[in-house]
Formats: sequence, structure tokens, C-alpha cells
Amino acid sequence: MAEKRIPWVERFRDWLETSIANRLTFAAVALTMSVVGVVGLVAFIISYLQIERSVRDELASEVSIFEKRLDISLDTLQKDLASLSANTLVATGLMDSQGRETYLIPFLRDYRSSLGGPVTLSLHDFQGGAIAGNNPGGLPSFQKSPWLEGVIAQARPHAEIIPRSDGNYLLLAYPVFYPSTGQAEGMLVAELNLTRMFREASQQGNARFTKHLLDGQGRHVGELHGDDHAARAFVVRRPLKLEPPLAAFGLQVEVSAAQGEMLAPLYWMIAIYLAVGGLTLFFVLWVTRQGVRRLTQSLVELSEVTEGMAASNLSVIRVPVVGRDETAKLAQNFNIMIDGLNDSYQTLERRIAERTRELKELNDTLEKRVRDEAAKNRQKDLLLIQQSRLAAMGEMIGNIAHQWRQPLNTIGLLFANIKDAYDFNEMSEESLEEATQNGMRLTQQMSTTIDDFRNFFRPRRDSAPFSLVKSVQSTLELVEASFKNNEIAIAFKASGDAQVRGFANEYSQVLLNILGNARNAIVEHHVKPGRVRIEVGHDQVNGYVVVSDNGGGIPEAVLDKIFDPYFTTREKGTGIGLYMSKMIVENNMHGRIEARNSENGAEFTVITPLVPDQSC
Amino acid sequence: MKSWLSRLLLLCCALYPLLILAEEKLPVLVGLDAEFGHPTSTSDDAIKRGILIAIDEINRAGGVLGGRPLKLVERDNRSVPARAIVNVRELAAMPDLVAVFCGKFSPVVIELLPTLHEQKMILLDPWAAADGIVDNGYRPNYVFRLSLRDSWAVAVMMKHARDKGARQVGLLLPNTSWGRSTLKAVENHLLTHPETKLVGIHWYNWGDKTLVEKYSALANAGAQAIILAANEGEGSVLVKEAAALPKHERVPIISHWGVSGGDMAKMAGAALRDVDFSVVQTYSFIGAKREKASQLVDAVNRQFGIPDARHIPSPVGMAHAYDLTRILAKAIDKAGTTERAAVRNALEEVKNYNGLIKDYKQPFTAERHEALGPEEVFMARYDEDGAIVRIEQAPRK
Repeated sequence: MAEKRIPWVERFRDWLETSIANRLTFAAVALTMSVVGVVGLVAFIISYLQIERSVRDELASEVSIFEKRLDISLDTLQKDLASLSANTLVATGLMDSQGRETYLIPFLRDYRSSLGGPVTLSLHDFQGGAIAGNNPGGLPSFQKSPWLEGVIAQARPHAEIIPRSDGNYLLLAYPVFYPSTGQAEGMLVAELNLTRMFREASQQGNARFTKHLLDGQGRHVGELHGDDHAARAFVVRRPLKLEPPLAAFGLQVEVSAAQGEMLAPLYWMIAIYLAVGGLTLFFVLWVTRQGVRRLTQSLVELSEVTEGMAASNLSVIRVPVVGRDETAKLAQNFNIMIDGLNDSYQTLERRIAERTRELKELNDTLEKRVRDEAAKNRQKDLLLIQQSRLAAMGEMIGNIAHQWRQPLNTIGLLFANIKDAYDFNEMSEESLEEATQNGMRLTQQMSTTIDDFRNFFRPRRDSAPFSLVKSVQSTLELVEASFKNNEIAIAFKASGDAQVRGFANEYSQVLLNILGNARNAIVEHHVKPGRVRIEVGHDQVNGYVVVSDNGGGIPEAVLDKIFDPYFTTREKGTGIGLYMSKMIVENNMHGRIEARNSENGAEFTVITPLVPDQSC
Repeated sequence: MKSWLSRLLLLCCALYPLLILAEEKLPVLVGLDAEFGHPTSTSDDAIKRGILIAIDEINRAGGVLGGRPLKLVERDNRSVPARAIVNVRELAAMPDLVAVFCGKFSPVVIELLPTLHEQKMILLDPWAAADGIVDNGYRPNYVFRLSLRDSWAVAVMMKHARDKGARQVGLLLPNTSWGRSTLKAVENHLLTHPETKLVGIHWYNWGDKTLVEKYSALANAGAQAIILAANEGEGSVLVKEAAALPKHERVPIISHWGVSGGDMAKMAGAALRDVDFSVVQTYSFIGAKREKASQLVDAVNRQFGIPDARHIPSPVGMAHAYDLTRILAKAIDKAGTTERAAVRNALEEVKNYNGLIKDYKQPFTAERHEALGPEEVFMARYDEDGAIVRIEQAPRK
């Protein structure tokens, strides 16, 4: 997948790569920006942390004030109610209606909480019905309130936060115990507008902060002051330390500050810093550009000279030498290098011309040399083939000698019998006829042997299909006498005939080589009894002949060299047989020949492709 | 068809007398709404005993309305007015319930008054003594009392103070309607008895755990006797605290009878012997000469296992309830119905009842719903065995 190239990146890369001045400028700018950025970031973080800590300290202080104030106020309310509900005057109010106006109601009306607003107090009977209260606007009724039973039957104080149109009200109900029975027979209920109370109370605090009263689930139950939660606000919460039943609400005071307002100085600082940083960057850019130009002027000139070098004659190029600094030395050295380079160039030119001429001459004679070498190789091949054929012929002659030895002996005996018969006057026409017939048969047999060998050495004709089994059988006939003479048993097994294409006599030559090697190995190693096993078969593609012997095998060290030309392990070996066999099988029949050691000897496999109509 | 109708008519005629008989046998109910849940009160049980003994006698004699038995239905108000109101509304919903007895707490009864008259329910008061209970302004008045009135009690208590040589008295009163009723009675009494000087009034709240500061303050103000309106709780607290004072700092305590509605003797204990403590009463079984008294002592012994007259708790409650129940039975018979308005009217017309406390020529009239009179009121004291015994008094002036 091709790499996606972004034009401006490419341009920037070009800009960087084509000029040291550009790279230095860029490095200076990047370094300056990094320093400015890191310093700015560190300064920002430190400033932010300091501001945050300062704001949080302020918030903590504020929240402490409100926490204590609310703790005291709400705790006071609870304690007051607990005290009032245990007051016998209040208990008397459950019994005595006539005197309530004179003692109970004024008493309740006089009650003012320290919470910053009046608390509505009311006395109720055991059914929640109102008895008396300090609210001139009317008395609440709590008949059938679900929590009534808890307050009366279980004498358990109850607290509840009730949302109303004018704010969240805190309702506290304490059981009033009847002095004579000790049982809760009524309740004293206090109602307090939390929203209003906290709003009034919060006006004394820091006006920049928003204050809320939250319940245990974080819901607002009373807003002290300010807007709703600002986004990303600094927030400090603290739970109120209240006794039950108010403790059940998990009330907590939250004081928050809008982040934007608190961080305004930091934002100003960032703006100023960015402006100063920008100017610094611009200054650094200008200074760097000027300095780099001076520094790289010599390099630029050097570069221009090198460009000239690439385009023109070195002998006319010189770098101007200005001053005595490193760049002047560089220019001087460069000029010396140019001179040296010019000399080298001239020398190289001359040598190239010489070599070119030599190459041209070489090129002119190359074709002739190749032809000569090819002819030599062909000659070598022919010689090799000839040697091979001679070796084979020698082998064949040996075989013929073996083949003929028996009939020659028989003919000799036949002649001796004829002479004896004649000497002892036992010759008859019948015996002479018989001896003649026997001699004719023997000579015919020897003639057949000669035909067989002649066929073997008949010049090859065109490639043609032939049977592997027949090829093996005809080859075995050639060597049969030789093997028998050396007491070597031949086991031939054909699991199926196979037609392969090639030169049958060359294939026989291959087999003769392999069989001859087997026989020689058995004889040399004095293996008794010698055994050679020949197996013919085929698969769906190839036909094969496997020849294995018990002649001791081939040393592992030379196993991969046996097909090399002129490689032999025998004193009188030529080293040509297996090489030629390999040439015949691979080049002429497009097969392959493999050798390996079996259990007691060597095993050669000749694999050749089947004739197409035999393959699957 | 005609035959079927005639058979049905015959069956109805046969069953009608049986239905009438069954209806007549239904009990006539009498309610009692008292402070049964009050742990130290004994007046509630005393009232109940008086009613039950009377009902037993009435039912043995054939009941009311020609054979219907009287039956008591109880409700516990724990001395809480709100509960009493609920109870009375519930009792008023019972069709054959003719009247309700109340307990000893005047404030409870006072709170009940609007409900009683709204429900047209007869209230029979055998104890609560606030004058305003009967003088309630309702017409017709459904409240009938056979008990003490604060004004009568104050008169006797003040006289007792004078008899003890106390010309300066102090008042120690509960901050309730009962206390205010007592104060009003004292103020009225002082109008006619200027020789007695009121040196101070101290109010206590119901359930206060100490009263000795107020007691001592009155004593220090010159009070030679303390007129006390209290129940057994505050009364026993004061007696114990006064007994703990040096003897020269103690002044006699002349008490309204609320204390006798509870187990004062047991609660105050031995302190009662160290303090000059007297209490108003209207009746005592101890030494009673009337035959009815011995019959009741026998009955209370038989039915409730109380051995003798000295051990009858809150005796006035039992005596008042007994006579009041007998008067109610007569009124029911006189009215001939259980309809409350008729019975209320009949109560004002019952005459010549020879009761336990006295022979009533006419217990109630249309203008007078007090069955007793100041002549029944006397001062008593707690004997060592806790029995309330009459104090022999000087002749009335």
C-alpha cells in the first residue's frame, strides 16, 4: 500500500532537508518553543495549584463557618424540641385546652430559634390533630400521616424534608410524653423553612461563593446563597454533625466557587505569558536566522561550488577562501581536494580508456573462444561417451566370455568325443549326426549371444516407448552368466510392467552399470552368498526399477559423490559409469536416479516418467 | 295464593311476641370512660366497682325497662382528653348505650363537654370536681354529677385551715383547668372570708418532679397552710419533699381530693406520718351507719375480694358511682326507653332514692345537676394503714 503523502509535510521536509540554515532555524525555534512551553506549563501548573489551594482554603474556612452555624442551629432546634416536648407545660397542653391561650400558646410564640427565622411550633394529639401552635396563619394537621405511628406508638422522633412552593421545609416531630402514664400521647412539631433560613444566614458569608445544603444523596435541600452549581466549580463539602433524627438525612454543607471567576488571574497570566512568549519566539527566530546565515554562508558557497563541480570541469573550480577560521580552512582543504580529485579524475579517465579498449578487444575474440571451449567440451563429452562405451564394451566382452565359456567347453568336449569315437572306431553316422547337431546348436547359441550384444551396442535410434520389465529381462540375460559364475543369486520381482519413453539400450546400459557395480562389490567384499534383488514397479506418474545388493554398501562419506564424473572407489574403475547413467536418466529420459544404503548393501532406484497414456 | 298469605300472616302473629321478648332482653349499656391506663390511679377501678355492684343489684332485681339487664362498657382514656373524645364518639355510636361515666380528671371532662353535647350523650360524673363541668353553659345540660365541687371543697379546706389557726394560706395549684377552677373557688371564698389572707399562688406543671421550692416559697411568704390541688403523683412528691424539710419549715398541707384518687398512701409512704396532710372527702365507709354501706362492703368483699371498709381504695369514687348508677336505672325506667334525651330528662325527675350516701329527695332537677351538697364534704386524713379517715371537725361557723 502506497504511503500517503501530505503536501505541506512534504514541502516542510524539503525545506528542512535542503538547507542547514533551515534546520538550524527550525531547531532554534523548536527549542525556544519547548522552553517557553515547558516554563509556561510549569508556571501554569504551579499557579493553578496555588490558586486552587487558596480557593479551597477559603472554601474550607467558609464551609467550617456554615457547618458550625448549621450544626449549632439545627442541633439547637433538635435539643430545643426534645426539651420542649419533655416540658410538663407542653404535656399539660395535651390535657388542658382552656388555659392554652394563657400559657402554652404565648410560650410557643415566644420561642424563637437562633436559626435566623421563626420556627413554627405546634402541639398535636395522638391522632395528629392540632391542639395549639405559634403560627397565627393556622395550624397544620398531621392526621393519618404515615410517620405518626412511629412518633406516638414507638415514641420515635421523626424528621422529614418537605418541598413546598416557597422552599424546602424541615419538619421535626418529637413525642410528648404524658406525665401520668409515661406514654407518648401527643407530639410537638417544628417546621422550618430551610431555604429561607439558609438564604438569610448565608448573606453573612463570602458573596463570591455558592452555598448549598445537601442531603445524603447529594440533593439540594436548601440553597444558602448564589447561583446554581457552576460548571467545573471548586467544591468543598462537609457533613453536619447532628444527632438523630436529623442525622438520618446525612445533611452536608457544600460551598462552591465558579472556576472561571476563581481562575481569572490565572487566565490573565496565561494571556500575558503567551504575548511575551510570542515576542520572544519572534526575536529568537530573527536572531537565529541572522546568525545561521553568517555561519552557513561558507557552506552555501561550498555547496554552490560542488554544484559547479557536478556540472563543469574540476580544473576551473575554486572555493573562495575568506578569513582564517574553520570554514576558510575547509575551503582551502576543499580546493586541495578538488586538485587531488582532478588528478584522480584524469588518471581514471585514462585507465577507463585503456580498459575500454582492452574490453573491446576481448569482446572481439570472445565469440571465437566460446566456440573453441564449446568444441572442447563437446570433444570431452564425446570422449567420455566413447570411454563409457568402451568401458561398457569391455564389460560386454567379459560377459560374452562368460557366456561363451560353457558352450566352448561343450564344443571342445564334443570335438574330443568325435576324435575318441573316430580313434576307437566307434564313430557312426548317427553319432556324427548327433555331434554335428549339438555343435550347430552350440554355435547357434553363441551366435545369439553375439546378436544380443550387438543389439546392445547398436547405435541409438529415435526415442521410443519400451517395457521396463523386458528391458530388465534382456539386461539380465547379458549378465546372467557373469553373476552365476560369481555365485550371485538374482531375484527379480515385477509388481507390474511399465512403459517408459527413451532409448532402451541406454536404459540397459544404466542397468548394466548398476548391476556391474553390485557384482563387483559382492565379489570384492567376498560376500557369500551374494544376492541381488531387482524390483520393477510403477506409481501413477513414474515407473521405477530398484536394484539392491548385499555387497556392503557405499561409504556414507562418498555417497553424494558417486555420480560425479571420474569418481571411483575401485582401483581399476573409470568413474564414468554412474555419471553416464545419471546423464542418460536425467537428460535423455527426464527421470532421476537415487542411491542409498540399505541394510547390507547399496540400493539404486531408477525413476522414469511413464508414457502419457499409462499415467493417470 | 290466599292460603299462602294467610299462613304467613299466622306465622308473623305467632312470632311477634317472641321478637318483642327478645328485644326486651337486649342489655341496656352504660359506658365508663376512665383512666384505666393510668398506672397510679385507683379512682377508675373504684368507680367501676361502684357501677358493677349497682348493676348487679339492679339486674338481680329484674333490670331496667321491665327486664333488660344493664351492662357496663369500658373504655380507657389514659387521662388523655383526645382519647376520651375518641372513646365517647365510639360509645355514642352504640344505640343502646344511655350514658357515660367519667373518671376523676376534670380537664379531661372539660375537654369532653363539646363532644358530649354534640353527641347528646349523658355524662354521669362520679368524681371530677371542677365547677365548670356542671356549670358548662350548655342547654340542655347533659352532665349530671354526684360528687364534689371545687367551690365546696375550697370552703371546707379553708375552714379546715382556719380551724388549724392558719390565717394566711398559700395556694399550690396545677396549671390546668382544675387548678384555675380551684383558684376561682378560693378567690370567691375569700370574698366572703376576708379574715383569711392569701399570701401567694404557685403554679406547677403537671408531671413536675419537684414542688418543694414552691412549697417553701409559700411558707416563706407567710403561709401557715398550703392549699393544694394535686393528684397522687404530685401530692406524694410534695409530701416526701416536705417531710424531708426541717420540722420548723413544714406547714400543713390541706389537699384537694385528687390524691385520694390514687394510691397516695403507698406512694408517699412513711412521709405521710411526718407531714400534717389532710384531704377533702365526701364519703367514708369507715363508720358509716347506713345499711346500704354494710351491704356494699359485703358486696365489694364478695365480688372483688376487698376485706373491709378500711381497704376500699378511693372510696368516694365507688360510693358516688354506686348511687349514680342506681339513679340512672331509675331514670331509664322512668323514661321507659333508652333514648338519651328522654333519659336525660328523666334524670331531672327521679325522686326519693334512698342511696348509699344519703336519701335523695330529688337528686337532680332541671336547674341543679349536682346530686350532693356542701354538707357532705369533710376533711380526712390518711391513717397509718393507708385508710382515709374522717377528721373530727369543729362545729361549722
